[in-house]
Amino acid sequence: MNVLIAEDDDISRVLLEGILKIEGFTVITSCDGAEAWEKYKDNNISIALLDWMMPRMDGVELCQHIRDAESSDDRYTYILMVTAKNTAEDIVEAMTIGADDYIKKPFDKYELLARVQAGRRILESKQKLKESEEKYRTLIENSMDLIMVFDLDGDILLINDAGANILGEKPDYFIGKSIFGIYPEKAAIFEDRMDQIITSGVGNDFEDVITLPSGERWFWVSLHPVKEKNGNIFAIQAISHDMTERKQVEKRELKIKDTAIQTSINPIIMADVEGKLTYANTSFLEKWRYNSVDEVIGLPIAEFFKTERDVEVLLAALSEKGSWLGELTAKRKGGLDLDVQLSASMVKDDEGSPIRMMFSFIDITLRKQAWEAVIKSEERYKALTEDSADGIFATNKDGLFTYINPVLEDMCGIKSAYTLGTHFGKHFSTEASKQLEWIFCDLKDGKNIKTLEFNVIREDGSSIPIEINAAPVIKDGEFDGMECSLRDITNRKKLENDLKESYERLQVAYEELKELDQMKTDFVSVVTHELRTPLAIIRNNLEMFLDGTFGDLNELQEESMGMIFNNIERLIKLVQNSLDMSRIYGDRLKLKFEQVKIKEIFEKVVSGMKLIAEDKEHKLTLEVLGDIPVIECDEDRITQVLTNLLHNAIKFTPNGGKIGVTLQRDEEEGVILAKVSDNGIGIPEDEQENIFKQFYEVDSYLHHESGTGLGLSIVKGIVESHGGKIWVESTPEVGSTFSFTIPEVKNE
Amino acid sequence: MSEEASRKKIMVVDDTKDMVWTVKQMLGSEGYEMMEAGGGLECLQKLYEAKKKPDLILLDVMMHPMDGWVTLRTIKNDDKLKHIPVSMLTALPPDEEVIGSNTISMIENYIVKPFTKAELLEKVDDVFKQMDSTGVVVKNLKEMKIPEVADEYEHLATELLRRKRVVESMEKSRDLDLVSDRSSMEDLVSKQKEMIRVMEKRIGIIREKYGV
Repeated sequence: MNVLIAEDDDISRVLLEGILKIEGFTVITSCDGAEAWEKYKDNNISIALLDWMMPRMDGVELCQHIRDAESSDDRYTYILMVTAKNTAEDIVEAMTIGADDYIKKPFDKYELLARVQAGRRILESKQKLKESEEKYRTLIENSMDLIMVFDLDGDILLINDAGANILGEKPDYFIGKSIFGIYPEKAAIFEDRMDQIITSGVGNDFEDVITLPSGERWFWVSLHPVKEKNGNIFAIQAISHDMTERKQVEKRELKIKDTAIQTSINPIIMADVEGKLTYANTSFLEKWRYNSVDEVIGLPIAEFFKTERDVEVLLAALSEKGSWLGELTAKRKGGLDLDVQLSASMVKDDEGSPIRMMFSFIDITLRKQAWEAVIKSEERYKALTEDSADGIFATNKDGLFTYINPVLEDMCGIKSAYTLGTHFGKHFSTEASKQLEWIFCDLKDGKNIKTLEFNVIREDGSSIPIEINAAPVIKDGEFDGMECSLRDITNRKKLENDLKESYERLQVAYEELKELDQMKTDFVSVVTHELRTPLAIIRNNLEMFLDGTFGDLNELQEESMGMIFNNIERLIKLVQNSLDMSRIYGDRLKLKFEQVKIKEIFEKVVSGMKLIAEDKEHKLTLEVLGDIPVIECDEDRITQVLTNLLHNAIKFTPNGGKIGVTLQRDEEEGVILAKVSDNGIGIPEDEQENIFKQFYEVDSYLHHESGTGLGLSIVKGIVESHGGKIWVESTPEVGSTFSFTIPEVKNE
Repeated sequence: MSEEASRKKIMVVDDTKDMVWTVKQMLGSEGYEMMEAGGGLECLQKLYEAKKKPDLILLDVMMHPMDGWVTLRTIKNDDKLKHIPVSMLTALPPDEEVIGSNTISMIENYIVKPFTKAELLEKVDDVFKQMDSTGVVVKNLKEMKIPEVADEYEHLATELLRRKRVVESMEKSRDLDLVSDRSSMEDLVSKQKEMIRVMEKRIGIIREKYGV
């Protein structure tokens, strides 16, 4: 470090030089002010010790020269005035012209050194300050942020290039201008902020939007006080960071998030810290059956849950832990329940204070139902397999046991504990294993397995009959194993055998009965035939008694013979009908099917019966409704049926009755429907179901005159042989309607 | 022709003696001359022996050892006896075998037991009336000295009568539901009817041509 000594007194000069040299300074000496000035200009002087009183140029003048020079060439010299002057005025004068310190003559060697050393430290720190200032300036100049310093009146003292550029002008434009003038609309904010800073002494940050020629920009503004050494604030530094890009991104992100929430498939709501709803997304409104968001805003969240207890637990968890996840039952508009999974969380600000509660729901009705169904089916399956009376096992695709139920353990002595994971073939008797292997292979080949029966040898060597049902386990469309149920059919086998035996016994009994029936038929036939001749003899002889062939009879004889005759006649009729019946029922009716125009048959029969009907003054009509197709039937049999029904109608209707035949097609049933109605004596209800019976008819023959000799039982037999039906509707004293159907197409 | 000779002679054949007696009483009281037999064999024997053959035989079906149908076929296969009309007395209407065979055309009619006296008399009278009406025409034709025509007429008339009775009994059997094979029955009936139509046509031609 170079020290310039300007001293006209030789002794003092040498003394100073000596002291400083010893301390390691480079010392340049001069004898007067002018010489010192020259030497100052030629050398890089850091510290100058100037004597006040010197020839040609005194210390004060030299000091002024130096300070003047410094202002233009960016140097600083620590100036220490050495003076014999001792008054306060002198000292003030010295300091005012720019001296840094002074020392009074005669000086103490140590005092001098201490002051020089202090000067050196000041210089060094000034140098450091200068360096750091430069660095700082570089930072400011190179910063992309707007950096500006303004005084407490708002006048701009400094603005960096980048800042000026951001604001659209050169830095010079701003210097000296008031920020209130540049941005009058921001005056209030700046004033407010400046007041805060001045009052508190600390800076503050805020976000602000400034409209620039390039458009609206977002700034992060950081204000800091600039203080003097004594701590007084004399200016304010503003650093504004352009965060428009980030804001836009944030805004976009926010919008995306907002849209995501709004359109989320999950119902989402938000509530303030008091639990009042502030937001609900579309899904929520739909799920909870509200029409608009206005309906729900402001409602307490308790409104949306079924039980108050749930709400309490939820809110407690939110305030304690900040979140809650679980399942509960929600309450929808109108009190409808909804099973939901809820994720709730407390949204906090940067300081950690809660600001919002957020609730996100998942409708788990279906999942719950499905799960319940799964549980149920699993339980059922388990119950089925565990409690099943059947032995059940399952294998994987390699035939290794994956499951064995307890019944199978008992049934075949296969213990699941030891055999799971081993091949099923090892655990059954040879025959059973072979069968099972086939089944397994068939299933693997995709064949269907019918129920199979075979014997299984038990542990104790006994053999039990087993029925096996096997099904493939299909996974992803591939064979993945086999499931088998084995049923002990010992009892069934026994039952089957019993059944078979009893069937055989029945068969024998049936044969015996059939034989007996044949014998009965033969008996009736033989007896009736054998009766015919004696009956003829009795009848004919009685006739001869009665017609006088054997001479006249007295009154009593004639009465008696007449009685015998009547009863013989009755007996003959009974025999006659018994014979007919045994004939008719001895064989099954044989039908001759042909394509028949049934309408023509009806017309023929009805017109054929007209004469008979007219004998009793009946009115007989035929009504054909619609088209009647040609059908397959036995023409003669159908003729007999209609003839018989008409005979009955004529017979059982008092003279002058109405007898109507209708014929129509029932397309729906695919049959021809015929009806024979009369307004005759009718049939009592309790007898209606009997009239088609064989023996009823035999009985009825005894009470009425016989007609065609073919009773209603034969009519029924014929109709039914055709696959048709016959029935009667009748009211006593009002009349009867006999209806029968014949299928259009012959039933095979 | 003496009264004795003009009386119609009826033979009754039945293995039930009481039946024979009863029929004899019924017909005898109506003035018919009666002869009797207790079975098929006796019947044939008496027919061969009789100088005056009966005008009608009433033949029972169920007889032992030789039944009515066998007896009938024997009579109808005998040239000396086959001209005698036969009516069957029966407890059994003819079965399919009989109806489907020629046998049915060999009889005049059948009388089902237990018949009434009136039925019996009507059936008998019926046979004789038909014989008589045929007989008148035949007699007239013979008087016209055209015996071959008379023979043809007699044969045709007798055959026609029988066939008509056959058809009648067939239809009755069918209506009584006694036949299992109805279609073959229908065939038979229609064939018989066709024959009857041809015969009636021929008879008509003869009667028109000769004015009888």
